[in-house]
This record gives sequence, structure tokens and C-alpha cells, in this order.
Amino acid sequence: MKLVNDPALDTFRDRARTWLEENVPTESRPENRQEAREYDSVWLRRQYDGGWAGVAWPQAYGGLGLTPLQQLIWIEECVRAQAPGMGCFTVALGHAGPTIMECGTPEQQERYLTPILKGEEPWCQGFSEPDSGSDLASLRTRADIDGDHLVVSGQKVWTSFAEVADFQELLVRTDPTAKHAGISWVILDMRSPGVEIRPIRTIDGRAEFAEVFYDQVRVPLTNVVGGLNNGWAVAMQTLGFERGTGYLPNRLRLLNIVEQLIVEARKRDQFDDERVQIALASLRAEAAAVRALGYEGMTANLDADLVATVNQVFYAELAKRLYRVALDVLGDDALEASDWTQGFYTSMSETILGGTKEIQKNILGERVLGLPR
Amino acid sequence: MIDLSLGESQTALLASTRKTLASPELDWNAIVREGWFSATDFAAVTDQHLVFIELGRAMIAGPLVGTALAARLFEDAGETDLARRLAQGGLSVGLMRGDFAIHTENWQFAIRADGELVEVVRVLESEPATSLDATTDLIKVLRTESVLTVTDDVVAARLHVLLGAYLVGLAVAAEEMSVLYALSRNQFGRPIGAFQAVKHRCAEMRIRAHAARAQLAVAAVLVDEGQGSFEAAAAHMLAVEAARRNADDNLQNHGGIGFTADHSAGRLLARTQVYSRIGPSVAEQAALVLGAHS
Repeated sequence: MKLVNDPALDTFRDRARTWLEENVPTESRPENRQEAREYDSVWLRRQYDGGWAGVAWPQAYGGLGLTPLQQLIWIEECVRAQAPGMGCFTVALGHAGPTIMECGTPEQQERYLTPILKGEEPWCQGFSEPDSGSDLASLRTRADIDGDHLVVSGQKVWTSFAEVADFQELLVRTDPTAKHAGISWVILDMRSPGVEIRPIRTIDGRAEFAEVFYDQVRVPLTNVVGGLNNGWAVAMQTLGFERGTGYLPNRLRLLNIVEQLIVEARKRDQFDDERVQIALASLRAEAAAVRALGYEGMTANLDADLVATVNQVFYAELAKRLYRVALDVLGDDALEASDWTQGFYTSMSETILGGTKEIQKNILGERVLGLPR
Repeated sequence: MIDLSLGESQTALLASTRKTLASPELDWNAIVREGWFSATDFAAVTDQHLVFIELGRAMIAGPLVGTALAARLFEDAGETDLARRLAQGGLSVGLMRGDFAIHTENWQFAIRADGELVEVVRVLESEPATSLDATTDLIKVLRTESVLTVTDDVVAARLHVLLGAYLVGLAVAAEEMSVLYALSRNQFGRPIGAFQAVKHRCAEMRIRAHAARAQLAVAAVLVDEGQGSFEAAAAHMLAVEAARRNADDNLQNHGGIGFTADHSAGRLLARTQVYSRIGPSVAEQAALVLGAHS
């Protein structure tokens, strides 16, 4: 355990900071979905041309293959420079790309990886269904073999970026007689005939997610990744990639929001109220712990389930509490819609999406603490 | 940026510490022999905090924090004779808060802290008091004289880290006690750990302790670099919360037997109350956490 004191890393940080200073877009991300896609694409292309694309991807697949500490530095500098996130390339960079690297054929890797790095082809995720959320393996979207194609019919829900994505990582049931062993992970071209997208409006006024309906959609068998009926194992890989640096930028950004709230409280003369002080101090202390957990995740060699579940639940509950306190700080002004009230509504999803806190605690209890199912 | 991986020497330190604390012949002399109160041989807070977590985890009672901190204060002030006596176990130092002090008595020493001010006092006059924890002796202090005063936020941070470490140890002890019980206590034909309410409580206990521990490690590293005032206060706040809530949850997980005087769940609850109140209050730490710009 030590303060990192490495001139090579300092040089790396300087290089990252300088490049970001010179290249982070000054315009903010547009609200319009298509314009946002273009914005994300331009930013990713700029990183690619600047030699900064694929920080967490192995060099063999066109990435930078940075060490964990270097990745952490890059993320810290991006948050500091208020760089845009991956936007609609989040699934492509964090899920689909790594999955194809790990489980795809050389042909699939050849076809799909570089366009992701260059910001040309965004992906979306087709995992959850209305009747299959926490119990994902119970999914029912069918894919029947017809010659050299699969014919897909069914429905997915909670698909982010559906309207702008070129491809979807899609889990389908190719064997109705088995549960986990009857699932396949396939690459779906979102422009295929028979695909219908319906946005879902959520309580925070956004429509970031969609339902996707499949009516006899034809998918080439060569788009199956990892083998027919082996999709559950592949999906577990996909979800496992979330445990790397995927969520770290969002988590570190939360620290900035805590600071914004403290500034807000000072402005509103709330600071001298001891209860407010204690609430804000607790938030700041927990935000510091989020950063500490980030360091730990990247440097200490701990059980992956422990690190993932602790980080997820701790951060999610902090996010919710932050916005509850924020509305208290606003007092009567909380009655009026604002960024804080929108943040409050959005925060309700933190303990649900990406694995509910109940599931996280089950995993922690069972796989880490060894408690029985 | 902090590297939180355990080096070889730290891994060895943890192993030997755990072995010592597990010994049935453990007494104060055995603890002293480990050298944990030697300001010359055992100065790094990064190492100290690991030991103090284990001391809390094993629920060791005694003037641990005060002695360790005072040894360093005396050594730094050139009072090498006093520092040596502490290292060799001939003298120990308690902790004082308001009018109360633990692990000390007339003519003995205690550490008192107020913000950045950390003081070693000698108790001159006191009255007996009944502690809320039967295993931690308490006195009501009437008169003291100052022996040594330091106004230094890093010294205060060191106190926060040592107290925080002991508290994290208590939080870990609570979680481990609960998990053990949840695996072995059967009702309705299965271990109670299978029931989600119990399982989730155990998971929450682990999350709290783990997060506090990570923040504490960051604080310890920074204190050794002469910084870390904010991080140590934050770690102490988190450790107090983790220890208190875990002690409570642990007793609940044990049901009726946790409520009996014989069971260690009650002793853990009592020890947690003492150690979470003998240091700075939540309000004081909040002011320190907010005063800093991290």
C-alpha cells in the first residue's frame, strides 16, 4: 500500500491531460438522438486519430492495452477535463467489442472491432425482456433455424441506444427444452426487416431506453457468437466486462456532483445547520470511499464478485442519497423542476439497472460470504 | 493515486498478527512483545492500521490506541525514555473525552484531542464510573495536568486512523460472527443464511465494512506522507457508522441468543459504543470533512 510515485506514470498523465485539454469538445452533447450519435462518433474518431481509442482493449485488437493504473489515470483525466463519455458507443466499447474479442471468430473480429474503435458503428443490448429481468435466463425471444439463417421473433426491453445503433448483441432462445443451455448470443443488424423500436419514457422525462420487437427477423447463422446454445456462457462474459473500468467514469463524476451540492448549500446559507453539515459530510466521506474503492479495484487483487457487488451497491445507494439530500438543501425550491429534481428521478434507477441491488446482495451473500441459496 | 495492493512485508505482518491474536495464551505482554507500541520500530501508519484492524476484529480490550499514539508523540518530542517505557509495556496510555477517560487511572496518562490539538495529560484526580461496556474501565476525570501538547492536523489524522482501524475491525468482527451463525443456525429445515433478510443484512454488513476499510487504507497511506487530514476524518466517520450498524445487525441476526449476556454479540455492541464515542463526535468530524477541499 503506497502513494504511487512513478515518473513514467506522471509523464503519461501529462500527455493525457495535454491531449484532452486540446481535444475535448467545447460544445455540449446535443439532446437530439441523431445529433448525439454524430457527436459521439466524432469524439470517438478524434480519440482514434489521436491514438487514444480502446484504452482498455488489448493491443492485438487495435486497442492501447493500457495497464490498470494507466487506465485509471486516463479516466481521472477525462473526468477532470469534463470529457464526454462513450455515449451511444458504451455498449459497443464495453460489451460487444470485448465479447467478440473473447468469444468471436476471426471473421467476426475482423468485421466488427475496428469500426467500433473508430466510432463508426454503435451497438445496443438486447438482453432483458418484460418477463425476464433479474431472471434473464428465462428469456423467451425465439430463434428457429431455417437453412443458414435464424428466424427471430419476440421482444426485448431496456435497450439503450436502440434508435441509433447499427448492431445489437441479442440473446435468443434457440432450444426451448433447456433453460440456460438453450440460449444463443447473436449479432443482429438493427436495420433488418421486421425490427420495430418503441422508446420508453421514464420518470425523469427522458427516453433513453426502448422496447424492441422482432417479427420473423432473419439473422445469418454466421452471426452466432461462441457457438449455438452456448450463449449463456458468452452473456456471462459480456456482463463480466462491466466489472472492469466500465462504470468508473460515472462513479468518479459523482464526486463532482457532491461538490456542486456543497457549493449550493453554501449559497443558500444552509451551511450552519448542523444536520445539513452532517448530511453533506457523510456524502463527501462516502464519495471519497467511492474513489478509494476505485483504487482498490484497479490495484489490489481481490475477488471479482466482491469488488463488483460492493462497488455497485455502495455507489448506487450513495447516488440516491445524494439527490435526496439535494432536494432537502433546495427546500421549497425543490417543488420546481430542475437539474437536481431530474437527477433525483434518474437516481431511482441506480439500484435497479445493471443488476438490482437485491441480486447484487444475493451474489455477495452466496458467492462471497458462502451463504446458502 | 494510491496503490492498495498488499506488499510482501504487509502480507507477512497480517499473517503474524493474526497468529498472535489467535493464540489462547494471549495477554498484554504478548501484545507488547509484538512491538506494536514501538515508535522507532513500528512507525508507519500504513502498517499500524492493518494491525489495529486485526485488534478490533479480535475484540482485544486494553489501552491500545492511546499507547500507540503516545509512543509516537513522545518519540517525536524527544521524550525517548517515556517512549521506551511504552514500547516495553511498563506504561500505557488511555483515551479521554470530555470528563471521561478509559483505560487509565490516577497518575497515569491519557490522550485527549480537540480538533488539531492532541494532548497527553496525566490524570491527577478522578472518580470511579460505571462504563456502558463492562470490559472497558471508565473513570470520571476531575483534574489533569498537561504533559505534552501538539497542534498538528497530521497527528490528529493519525489518531483518527488508529481509532478508525479498531472500529473497522469491530465492523468486520460483527460481519464474520453473523455469517458464521447464519451458516450454522438451522430453522425451518435450513440454515438461516438462506433467508434473504438475513443474507442481505450480512451482505450489507460486508459492504459497509469493506468501503470503510478501503477509505481507511487510503488515509493511512496519505498520513505516512504527511497529508491525509480530510481522508482520515472521512475514514473515521465511515468506520463509526459501519461499526455501529454492523453491531446492531449482528445482534439482530442472532435472534434471542444475541440478547443474552453470555453471547459475544452483546459485548461487541458495547465495545462499539465505547470506541465510537471516545473519539471526535460525528458533528466534529463533519466540520473537518467539510472544511477540507479534497
